[in-house]
Amino acid sequence: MKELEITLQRLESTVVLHIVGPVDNNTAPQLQEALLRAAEPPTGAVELDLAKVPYMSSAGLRVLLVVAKALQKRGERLGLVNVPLPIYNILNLAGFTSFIDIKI
Amino acid sequence: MKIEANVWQKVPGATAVEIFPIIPKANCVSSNCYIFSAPDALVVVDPGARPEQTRQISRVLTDALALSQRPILVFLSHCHQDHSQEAGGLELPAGIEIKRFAHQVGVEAMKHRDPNLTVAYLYPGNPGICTARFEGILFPSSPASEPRALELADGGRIELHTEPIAMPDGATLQRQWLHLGDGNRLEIYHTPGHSPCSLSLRVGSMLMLGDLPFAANPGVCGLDGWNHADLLQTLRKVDWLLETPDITVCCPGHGYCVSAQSMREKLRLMEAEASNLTNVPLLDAERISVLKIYVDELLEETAALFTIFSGRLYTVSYYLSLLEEDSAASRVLATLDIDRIDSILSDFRRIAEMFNNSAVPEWTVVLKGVQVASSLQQVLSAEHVQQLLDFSLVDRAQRRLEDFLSVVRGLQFLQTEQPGAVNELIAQILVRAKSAHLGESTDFMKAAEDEQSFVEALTRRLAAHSPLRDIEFEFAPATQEANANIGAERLDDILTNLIEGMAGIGAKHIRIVTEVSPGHVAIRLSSRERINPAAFGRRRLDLYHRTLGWLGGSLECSQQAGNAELLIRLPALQAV
Repeated sequence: MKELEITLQRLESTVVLHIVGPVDNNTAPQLQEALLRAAEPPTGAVELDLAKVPYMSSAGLRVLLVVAKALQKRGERLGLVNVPLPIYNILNLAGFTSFIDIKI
Repeated sequence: MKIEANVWQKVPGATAVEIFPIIPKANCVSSNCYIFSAPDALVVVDPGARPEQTRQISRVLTDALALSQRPILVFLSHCHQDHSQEAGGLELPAGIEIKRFAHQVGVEAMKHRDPNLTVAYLYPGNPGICTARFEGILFPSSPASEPRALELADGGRIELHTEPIAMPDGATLQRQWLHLGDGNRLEIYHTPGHSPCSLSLRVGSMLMLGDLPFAANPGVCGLDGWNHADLLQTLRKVDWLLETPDITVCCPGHGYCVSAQSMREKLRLMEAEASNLTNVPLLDAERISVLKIYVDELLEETAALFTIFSGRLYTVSYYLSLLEEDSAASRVLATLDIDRIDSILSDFRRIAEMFNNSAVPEWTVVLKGVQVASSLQQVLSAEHVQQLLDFSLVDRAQRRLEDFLSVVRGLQFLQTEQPGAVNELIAQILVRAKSAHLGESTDFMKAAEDEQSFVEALTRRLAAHSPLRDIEFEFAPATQEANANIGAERLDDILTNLIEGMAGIGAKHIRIVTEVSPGHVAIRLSSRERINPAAFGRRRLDLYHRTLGWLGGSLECSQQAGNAELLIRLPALQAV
């Protein structure tokens, strides 16, 4: 089974997770665990860097939803940065841009 | 009676004959193998193409020989590589004689290393075609009136009898048979269609049909040697055979054995499907390569459409949760088996990646594509999905899957549609983009007095979110009539996907222009905002270009004043 490469970077008020690899039903649980751990208090905002993610399936979208909900409960929002255009297209058409901050 | 894999069991309808079926997970690389232990011989039907299966067959035969020494008779249901490749690979104790049997056409094909009839061309790395000697030439073009005898080294002989069956409808079912001892027979019927050398074999009340049950499947019909007329005749003959109570179990070349009744029902459905398969083009290496590219494109398109579906469900559930409607949020997510679809598509993507690493043949990818398309069709046709999600998205996904299955079968689906008036079609798309949301408002107000109705209306309202709702369109139709010789439904799909895709990457103002020139209608899509066509995914654009290309049209992306323009060209409908 393929694994994601996840690197964690702690900035002053934000934790950034840099991801390498596809996010599908195989790798989504790994991403969810890392993101939820990163989102635990006292972390402020959480950002996900998708520059090296070739594709994201619905399993990946579910992870984003779960983490967005967890952050929303304490008034934070999930941010995505360096989102590849095809993934941005899907997130936008699915309505995710309304509850997640997404930067191309 | 249930036939179990990998154990000896009595053959129904026979005396003192046992069967040891080897039934691997169904695949196109190697077939099932059926081993019979009879008083006078051990019979192997279809050794297959995997060396590990050959080793298992050799072990089973060696153990059976330890109980009683007999000759080994190897039969092929047909000469395709996945059934025949290992026919010469059995390893047996010294002094054991093997005689091999196959239809004359198949024997000739293997002898001449014919990569087409043996379908060796489907497999990468040019696998060796079976070089073993076949002493038993079945159904020769000039049949002998007397039994043909094969002499054995120990002085024994195997007599092959030819005894055609006159069927009630006047047709003839070609039959040969030989004794297996204690009054048992092995009967062989010539059942062409899947291949000219296809045979069905019967022991007791078991009938082995080779690949006949799959002969009309997309990705199988049209293989070299496939013949529509022969297949229909064979299906009628086998139906007649299965009508008699003499056959109770049917064993296919891939997958599990079933009752004769189940097989008869399956073959009847198949006959109805096969009757439409006239003029199926040859499924040769070139066509398979094209289909493989089409599969890649289909994967990209269905994955994108499906991820948008499921993403919309997640969005709806997110807002319902925020409104503390958790049970409604859960119901929304239960609308579609998202995990199952995701798993189907992920498996498919892995197969496609394995192909790109040359680990699996192109044909496998095409067949996997067929399997995935059929599974997704089932999931998407569920009524509750259509009730909640954007109909247009579901329908578009369904049509892409249908198109794919039709094209793999070689059907010309696109000619079945009515030609379209392009300007009217675009006007309809624009009306639809704005109206989906407005229609929901009345519904929403009406439901306000009842809590459950309100939650349902709220859910529908959230689900009906159209990505085109906030787009400002500018439509400049050609002043002349723009009638294109293209199915309106598919043009609608392609245009809607492109417009939604533009909206998905940030277009807020979309300009649509139609132009008419002699022989052509052009549709230009552009945006005031900068758009990058790469955001659609190259394969998705290739798929639209391919679909338009079947109709003499095309899709091009060009840069105009630093921004992308999508140009659809369509053949104009000629005035009669």
